[in-house]
Amino acid sequence: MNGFMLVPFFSLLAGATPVGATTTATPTAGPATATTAAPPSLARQTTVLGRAFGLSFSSAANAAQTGISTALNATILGAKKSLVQTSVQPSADFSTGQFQVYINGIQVGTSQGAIAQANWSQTVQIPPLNVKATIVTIPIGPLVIEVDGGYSLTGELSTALQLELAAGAPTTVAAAGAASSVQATLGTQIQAAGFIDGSVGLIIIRGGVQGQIDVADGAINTKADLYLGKTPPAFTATGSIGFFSGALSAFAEYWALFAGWHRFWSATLFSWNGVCFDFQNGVQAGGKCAVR
Amino acid sequence: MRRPVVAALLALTVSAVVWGIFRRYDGGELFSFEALKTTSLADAVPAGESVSAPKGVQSLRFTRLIHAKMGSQALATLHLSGTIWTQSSGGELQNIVVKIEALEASEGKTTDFPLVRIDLPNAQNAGLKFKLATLPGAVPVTDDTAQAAVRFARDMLDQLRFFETSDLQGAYEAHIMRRDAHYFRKAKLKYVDGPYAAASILVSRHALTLAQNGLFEKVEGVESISMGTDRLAVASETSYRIWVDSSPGATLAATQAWADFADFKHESVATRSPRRGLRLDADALARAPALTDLLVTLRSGSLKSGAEQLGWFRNTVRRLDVESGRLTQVRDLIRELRANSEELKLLVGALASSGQADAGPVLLEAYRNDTYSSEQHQMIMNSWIVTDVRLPAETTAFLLQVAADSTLPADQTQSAMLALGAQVLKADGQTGAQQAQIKGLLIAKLSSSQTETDTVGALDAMGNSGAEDFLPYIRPYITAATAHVRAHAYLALRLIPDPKVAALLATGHADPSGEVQSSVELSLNLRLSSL
Repeated sequence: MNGFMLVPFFSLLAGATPVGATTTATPTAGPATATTAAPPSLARQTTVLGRAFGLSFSSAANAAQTGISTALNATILGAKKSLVQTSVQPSADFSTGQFQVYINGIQVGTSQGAIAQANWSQTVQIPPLNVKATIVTIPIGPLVIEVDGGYSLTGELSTALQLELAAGAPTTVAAAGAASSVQATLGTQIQAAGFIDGSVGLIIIRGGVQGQIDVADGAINTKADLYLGKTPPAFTATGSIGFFSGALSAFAEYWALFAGWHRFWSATLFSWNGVCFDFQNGVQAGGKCAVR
Repeated sequence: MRRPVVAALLALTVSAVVWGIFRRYDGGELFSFEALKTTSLADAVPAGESVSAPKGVQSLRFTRLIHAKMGSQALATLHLSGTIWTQSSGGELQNIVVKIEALEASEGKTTDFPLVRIDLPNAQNAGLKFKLATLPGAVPVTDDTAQAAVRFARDMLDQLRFFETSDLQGAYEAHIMRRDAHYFRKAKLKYVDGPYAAASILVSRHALTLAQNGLFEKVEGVESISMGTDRLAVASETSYRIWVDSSPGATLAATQAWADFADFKHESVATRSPRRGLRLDADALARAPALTDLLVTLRSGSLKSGAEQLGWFRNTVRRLDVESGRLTQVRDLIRELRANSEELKLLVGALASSGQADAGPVLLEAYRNDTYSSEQHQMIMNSWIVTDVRLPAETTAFLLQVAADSTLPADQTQSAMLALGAQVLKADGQTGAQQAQIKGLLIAKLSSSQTETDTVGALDAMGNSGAEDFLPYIRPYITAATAHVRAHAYLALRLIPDPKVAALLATGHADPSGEVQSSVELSLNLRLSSL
């Protein structure tokens, strides 16, 4: 019986990223000069149980260069899920702004207000939530284990829009013309943890997987100047975000009379202290962030 | 009058006999074990044959021959054999796993007698785990083998004491199973000393003694210790106490240990009283730290990082799952927490994610609490929208009422409409009539909208529903005169599973408005990752 359970579990290990293994990363960021800085973007991915497990953060100007958005997407056991999408959009004449937030594809916050030279700012609080993202089936010998993959998420999403008129220019947008701009800020303060949880039993033996990886932990402010003349906005980003800290494990247990379940085997599928990226004035550097 | 006297005398006699038995055997060397041959980890030489082992694992066989004696009389000869695996990665020792594969007693009977497991720390996890367990069902039912099993367990516990005093910080969990002719009993110990919290839960010593008519277990000493009051300590006295360390990670370790307590059986805990000494405490679990104790103690200010907050949250959800009776306490706590947004946020999230049927009414009550700010109200509603929490039937009527109330601030009515849309998507706990009522309201809102803001608001609410019923109502707005309305019409299509919608969304790429194109892009992205 034990051999039956142990061998498949060790074979599971063979498909997992070794403990402490490096993950693939495709961080990108623009140069330090604020006028040409590209929108901050990061992605990290690894393999757990032979399936993709990763997270990406991106920010971008919209197609018409009139608004900006950020997106935090996670890949949990191969299934891509939209965790958080935010966007802020001034109206064409810069008179009003609109802020939208989507969690898991569902709109949770929306607000609209007049833009002035004083900040128009909005905040949406996301309480910590467990969202089951996917269920993956993994065969273990003659049994099939159903693994729930999901994430816990909490954060504070904010925006601010501030009208910037050229120095010495008339005091209205219409008069200032193409020189007018709106400084748009999207604040993403987010903590997200991916988790897997699943077990399967055969009479007195059961096995499964469990664990939590803090896939994101940080706060980034993405700023861009949006011009009435539709000049491509220049981005700056400040803050930090950390990826992948935690551990996932597999386990096997037996059932003993009057004593319940006893774990007699466990193995680490993934364990990493994580990595953190700092953004300062658009410059991105890897390594440990002081703020974490 | 005579019966009680006789009963008392009889009880005294029995007690005296039992006491005599314990006095006779307690601490005495009733039987001893002599290890004749052993290969230890320190002798890690390839003395045995290699066995088939997982890739990247080195192994060696070991044998241990033990004579068990009572005085000069041989009780049993045990022949243990097993495998030691070492697992390494990147030049660092990861684990040593000791698997006891066979125990051969003097009677020639054999049995599986697994498992001993030792995890040594690696560079990232300075935890030491020592697991000792037996499969009682596989142990032959003889006094000799039972004695041997107990003695072996005791032997291993002696070794554990070495680890307690060594420089290695870590944890062990030991299970002692023993069997006599009638029953199993279990003692479970746990000592945790993690890299952050140094959380010591129990340090226990169990004296196992042999009585005349089978095996008896006597708890000789169970003590709780703390590693300093600035660190977590869960004491096994008459109550549990939790202190929060100021060092990073301590709170997370504390909440984890706290959540783990739900897994302990009552026999895990002993209490001490000056008069009665140490006794196993059958009611200890009932006196485990209440959820509210933890919540009050672990102020959110102690949660220093997002990881700690999520750890706190996940452990609280786990505890709520097994302690539905605590929801009333949580409700009371929420009523008192109006001043602290962070705590309210954590509690609301834990409730909404707990899966408890009673969480919905507590959240509805919290939403109706007038002392909260509009941001707090919004946050509570967000918890409904995103999770699968079951809200009471009256919630729909309440939301309909808010959405229809033109005297309320626009943000509030819009939130209610978004929540109603999400209610349709989840369709949980609602009757068909309620679903129809929600859909009717949203259709009426869209049809009667006089302003762009009202139109967009109704489209946004429909967008949260993913209901195909709304498709005919949304479709005309993708050709609306204003780009803003068209943009929101495309967004409202994102969760509708009808295959026609993908083609409809594709037409948006040709829209001359940048705002519309951006919305189409967002809608497609959300659709891909949500359906």
